[in-house]
Amino acid sequence: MKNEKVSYAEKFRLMDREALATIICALFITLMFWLAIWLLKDFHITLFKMPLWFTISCIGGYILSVVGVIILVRFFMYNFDLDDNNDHEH
Amino acid sequence: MNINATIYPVTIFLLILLVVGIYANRSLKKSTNFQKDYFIAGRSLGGVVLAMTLVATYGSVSSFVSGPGIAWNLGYGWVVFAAPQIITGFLLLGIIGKKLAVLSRKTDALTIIDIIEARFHNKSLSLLLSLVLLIFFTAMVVGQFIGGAQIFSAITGFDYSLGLIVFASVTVIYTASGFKAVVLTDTICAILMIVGMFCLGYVILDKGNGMDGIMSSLSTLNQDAEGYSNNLKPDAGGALPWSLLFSAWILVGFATIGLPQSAVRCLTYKTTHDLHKAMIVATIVCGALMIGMTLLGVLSRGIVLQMPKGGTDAVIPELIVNEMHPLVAGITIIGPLAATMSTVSSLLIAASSAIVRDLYIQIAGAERQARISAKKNKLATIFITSTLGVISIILALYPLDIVAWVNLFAFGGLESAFLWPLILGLFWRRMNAGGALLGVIFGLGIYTVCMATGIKLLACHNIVIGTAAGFIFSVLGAYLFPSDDEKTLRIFFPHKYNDPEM
Repeated sequence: MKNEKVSYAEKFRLMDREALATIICALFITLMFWLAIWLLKDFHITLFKMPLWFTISCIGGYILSVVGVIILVRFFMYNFDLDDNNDHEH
Repeated sequence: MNINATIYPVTIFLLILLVVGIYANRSLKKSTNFQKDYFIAGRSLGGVVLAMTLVATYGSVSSFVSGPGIAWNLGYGWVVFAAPQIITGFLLLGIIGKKLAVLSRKTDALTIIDIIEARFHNKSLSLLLSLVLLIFFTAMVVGQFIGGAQIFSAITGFDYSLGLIVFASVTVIYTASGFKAVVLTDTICAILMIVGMFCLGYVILDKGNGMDGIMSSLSTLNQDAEGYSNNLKPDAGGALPWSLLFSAWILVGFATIGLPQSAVRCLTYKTTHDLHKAMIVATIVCGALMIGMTLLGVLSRGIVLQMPKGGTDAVIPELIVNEMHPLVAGITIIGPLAATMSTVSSLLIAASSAIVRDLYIQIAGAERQARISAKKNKLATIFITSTLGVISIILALYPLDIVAWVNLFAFGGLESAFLWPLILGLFWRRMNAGGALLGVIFGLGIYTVCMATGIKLLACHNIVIGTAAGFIFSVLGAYLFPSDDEKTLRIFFPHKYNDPEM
């Protein structure tokens, strides 16, 4: 997370990058979720007293999502002033 | 009427919300920019409050009652349907959260339709979207009121109409105090939703003899030829087609970016740090609530053995009434009530802004709106919020089929209408007013026709058709009609121009 003065145009370049990172993160979670169901749905065994596919895809998917968003925020989101005070357009 | 001790915690809860409303109202008196403070709390929200208000707005009475009821019936498969909500908490904030914040400051926008107007400068588009928003929001508010009042009367023993008037009036009163009251009460509501969930979870595990007891009851239900319970399968033994489960990732996952009642919250926070914190907190809370409540619905099958007379919607109320001490029941029922009220307050204030700002400015013109005195402006705004609330209460007291029907497809309808103007408008320079208009008309139109006639594509939810049609016609329109003016595009896409001067 960088924290510095950026121009109005530069903010938009950063925000486009953040949006891309977010959608990739969301698609990765979606993919992992369905992969877990696809691979495990036919095993009739339990993990933590719930069906194996459920624990891995839904509970595991939730944990993956929380970890994913923390990584997303720490490494792929930028800090800047939301107001447009420091640009040279006015 | 057989009123019991459940009423005490509920009364305290309603009083607290009223006090918060009065407190927020007093801080509004010092306001120098009334509409900015009334509709978006002067862009002052911190990260945790932003997260909580998003989750509370999103989590509705159906997350607490209908959803878990269906899960009771179908088993673990219904959690697969609810699971996309693990990404809902950060998706909208991460994709459009910052752009909306920057652009709303740059263009002085107070509503999502303000932003769309600033991007496309098209009166018909703004009018159409204001009306869509107003109609769907009103139907949703009525639906929430009815759902909330039903569970209220089932658990407290209060008469349906009396209960409705009491808790709906409290909601309308604090909502009329403005957005600050809405988000503060939302935060309280989100916390109490979690408390309610934990009370339910404790009782279910306790009365069902733990996970072992519940699993052994579940595995004897609805067995297939091999003796394996359909309630333990991701597709509920075929009751949930895979295509429907896939489309849930659009309906309650990716397309939620287009929900205007959620998106408007991106106009209200203070700094990028707040947004980042909100993404993490909202993901933790939203996922826990949505997966948690649906899972509790599945597990409640270990206690509520027979289908209740009132259908699956009665499972959770019956559980609370029959299995809980009245005081605990009173605390638990605050969960669904809080979910109802926090959704209603957000819809109501957004609907009010659609009338006060969007519709009025479009019809009367911005100059006339600016000439109205601050005091008149304030009175009119509060009056409109309250009137919308009262109309919704009356519609909930005398339910109409048409309102119930509109509410059924309001969620997907809002997504079909708002998703592409927002996403393409913010990320695609080629997108123009013609594309947005075509996309809204055909996306929402085709979605509505499919919902009304029951036309389905491969058993998918119709949101797939709605968003696909919206996308195709938006792109088509964008290429058919000329580009928007460069001045606007330089505001929305400054990084696509090499020369910095305007």
